[in-house]
Amino acid sequence: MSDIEKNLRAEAKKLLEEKKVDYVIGYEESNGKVSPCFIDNAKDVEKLVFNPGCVHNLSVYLLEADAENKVGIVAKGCDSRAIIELIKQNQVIRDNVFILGISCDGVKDLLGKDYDKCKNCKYPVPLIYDVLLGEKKEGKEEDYSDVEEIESMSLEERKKFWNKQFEKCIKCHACRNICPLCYCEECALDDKNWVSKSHKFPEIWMSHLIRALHTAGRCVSCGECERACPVNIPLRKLYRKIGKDVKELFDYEAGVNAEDVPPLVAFDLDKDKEKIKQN
Amino acid sequence: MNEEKEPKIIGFLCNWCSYAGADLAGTSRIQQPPNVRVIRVMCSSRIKPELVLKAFKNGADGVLVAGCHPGDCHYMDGNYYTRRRFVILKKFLEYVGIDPRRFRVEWVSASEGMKFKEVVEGMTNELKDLGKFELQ
Ligand code: SF4
Ligand code: SF4
Ligand code: SF4
Ligand code: FES
Repeated sequence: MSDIEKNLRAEAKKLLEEKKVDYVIGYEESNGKVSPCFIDNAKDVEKLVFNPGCVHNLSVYLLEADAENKVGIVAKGCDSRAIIELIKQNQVIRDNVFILGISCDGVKDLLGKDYDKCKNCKYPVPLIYDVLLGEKKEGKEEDYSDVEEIESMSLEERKKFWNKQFEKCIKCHACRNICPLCYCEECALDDKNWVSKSHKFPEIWMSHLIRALHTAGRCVSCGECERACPVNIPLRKLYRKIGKDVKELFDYEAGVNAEDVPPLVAFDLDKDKEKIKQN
Repeated sequence: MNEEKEPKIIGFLCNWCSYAGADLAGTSRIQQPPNVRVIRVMCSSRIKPELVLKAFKNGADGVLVAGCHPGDCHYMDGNYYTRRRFVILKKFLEYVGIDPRRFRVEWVSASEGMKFKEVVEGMTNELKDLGKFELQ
């Protein structure tokens, strides 16, 4: 058992025994497969694990907590950004969560391959936490080469590439449902004024573009949408384009500081004038 | 006009500046291509990206969003949000393979009938060169 795991269990136990939280959201493992778990009893903390199978961004479950619940949550660097974003967007009350931050070494899929998000992870250490488990470490340099690769294709190629991806979509909405930042009670994707339920063109094009644009300024690149997608649409790469532009144009990054004003409900007169060339 | 070949442009114009500018072009009898179908909105910031996407989905060859010049919005700062929102949309459309010339954001004041004509003319000509918009 790693030190992180040992300390995690001890912290969780303390939280539950002292009744600082109603339950802890963490990871458990059975038959070599890790899944999210909810622990509300101190004697169950031995179930908690932390290992490279802990890919899930647990912050999505914070949306299901009641307003009076106090919740402990295990968060890696990327997960912590979603929590920051949720606090910023008034979906989570800071004092209601106790963040068990973990300095992360990366997670791997069932075949032992690194996830893309870990290959260019800028923030392995949570940006918000109440306790930190593991040693602080350096993140990687900002790297948008995945997006740049697509940007370097011709218009026609890009259209072909993305349309081929969109065509695969079966409209299961797993990408939306797993996204911690898709919390709208009434989703545009369920509104037939915008899109029908069809998974064919042009409706499916419309669905994908709407969701992508709704991630503007809030997607934290956790990659959960892409992981959940049953037909392997590279959604993270789709949304990271917007993240990249938001960074370049508005010098803004989602999920870094809960005090930031979201970029599309803000403006900066001088910089916008200089930087935004409309046509 | 040959309906098939003529580009269809959906123009979202804000009530206070650009719609008035378009109106002025009309009342001053300035000749301009008849390709823009105008949808009047109270402020350019009223336009959600969904509206632009829906126009394309339903067969527009181009979409024009026009509002007051920055600093002149009737609601003080509406178009500062418009400016940010649509620069993101435009770059994203390009990323999924849509020619950026199909989507334009312009600032046209109530007195700029001539500018409105030039925008419409310029866009119509560009769209003619580009041909019909095919989503697939
Ligand atoms: S859109 Fe995907 S990558 Fe972005 S926050 Fe949601 S689940 Fe994470
Ligand atoms: S797709 Fe848009 S409307 Fe639907 S939940 Fe996500 S952000 Fe909200
Ligand atoms: S998870 Fe994949 S298949 Fe399902 S709706 Fe999202 S993009 Fe489409
Ligand atoms: S009223 Fe014209 S842009 Fe706001």
